[in-house]
Amino acid sequence: MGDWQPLLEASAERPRWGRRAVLDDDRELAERHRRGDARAFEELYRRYAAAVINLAWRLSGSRVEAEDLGQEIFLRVFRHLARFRGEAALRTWIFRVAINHCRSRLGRRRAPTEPLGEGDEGGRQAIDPGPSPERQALASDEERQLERALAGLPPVFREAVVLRDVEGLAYEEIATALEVPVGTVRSRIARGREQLRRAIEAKR
Amino acid sequence: MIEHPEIEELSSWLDERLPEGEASDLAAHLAQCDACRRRADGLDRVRRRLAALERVAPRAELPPALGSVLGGEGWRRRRPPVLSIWSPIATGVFVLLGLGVILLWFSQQSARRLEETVATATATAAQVRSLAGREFRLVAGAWTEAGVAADAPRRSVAADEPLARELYASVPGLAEAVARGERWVLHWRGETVELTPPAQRKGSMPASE
Repeated sequence: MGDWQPLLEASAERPRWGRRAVLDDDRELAERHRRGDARAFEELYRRYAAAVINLAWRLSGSRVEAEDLGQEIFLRVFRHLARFRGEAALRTWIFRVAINHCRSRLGRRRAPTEPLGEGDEGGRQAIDPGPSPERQALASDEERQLERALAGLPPVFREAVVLRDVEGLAYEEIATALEVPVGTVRSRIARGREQLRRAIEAKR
Repeated sequence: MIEHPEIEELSSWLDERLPEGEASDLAAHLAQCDACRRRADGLDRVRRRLAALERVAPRAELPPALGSVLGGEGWRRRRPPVLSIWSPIATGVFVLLGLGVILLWFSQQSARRLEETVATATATAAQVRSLAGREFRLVAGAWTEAGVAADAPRRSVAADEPLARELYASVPGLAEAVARGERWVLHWRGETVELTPPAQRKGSMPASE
């Protein structure tokens, strides 16, 4: 594989979810919530809040909006967690709730965004610098360019790419979260990445 | 190798999702095809840059706004049921406490019965007197000699009559008792005699010996 080997090793070093111990712990957390343990939901929030808000940030393109979306998502999770029966991992189930809520909220707010092209204003408008001006100032042009390109992806591609490359989910987990076959996930990830690649290279 | 891989194949290869044979074929193709290698390189750069995007910081606790909304829905009021390991211990403590209360009640009852028995014995003792070796019991307000039936015919004798003086001489202490206003019923020469105190004889006093 030659030059690719370091890249693959770097990829393998990224944090992965899905360890059995974590899954068992998740099921126990849901069971405790079902039994009425208030601390279980607080623990669940601490465990998944960052990932859920991060997902909402990358799907909405707005860090500020992501905080509101995160609270709404966890309110939904609280209301429906008693129904969770452990068919999927709790994390995957929470991501599914998050995706469905973001679709509902963002779908009402704006029509699906077309792939970003030269001079695409819609993509730029979707980007919110958020509450991190220092980092935003320091962020490279490449990062801002990538965020714009991501915001310009069709939602179905954006969801798949974010779940895979930002949140690090396995294909099977993404399929469960998006409620589509694994083959569809594979295609959406590939096409999403390709559109991002083209958008970034077109800016050079 | 002329045929170029599809974008799905390149992307899956980067994620190590291709079967081993296809993966090695694709790697061999990339080694020879600059265009496909640049494309795969671009995809991988996108992938790595997405993974390196800024992330929100972990959250230590629920935001107040969410906490207040959940509070209205019963969060915090929901408490785990008292079960687990403490349940049998708590049950044992309650059983022991219950047994303790029952034992205490029984001991108090026993003590009360004992006190009543002692009081009865004391009262009984107070109702028996002895004069000149003769035993008397208080029956219907009169000190009645043992062996005298309650319905036995009796002769009523005033405290100052001659017969009474004979009795006073025979039974020491009897005159003083009658003088205190006590009635006495006793055997005397084959009959039952009832001595009536002087107060009941319209002011007359028993004669002294």
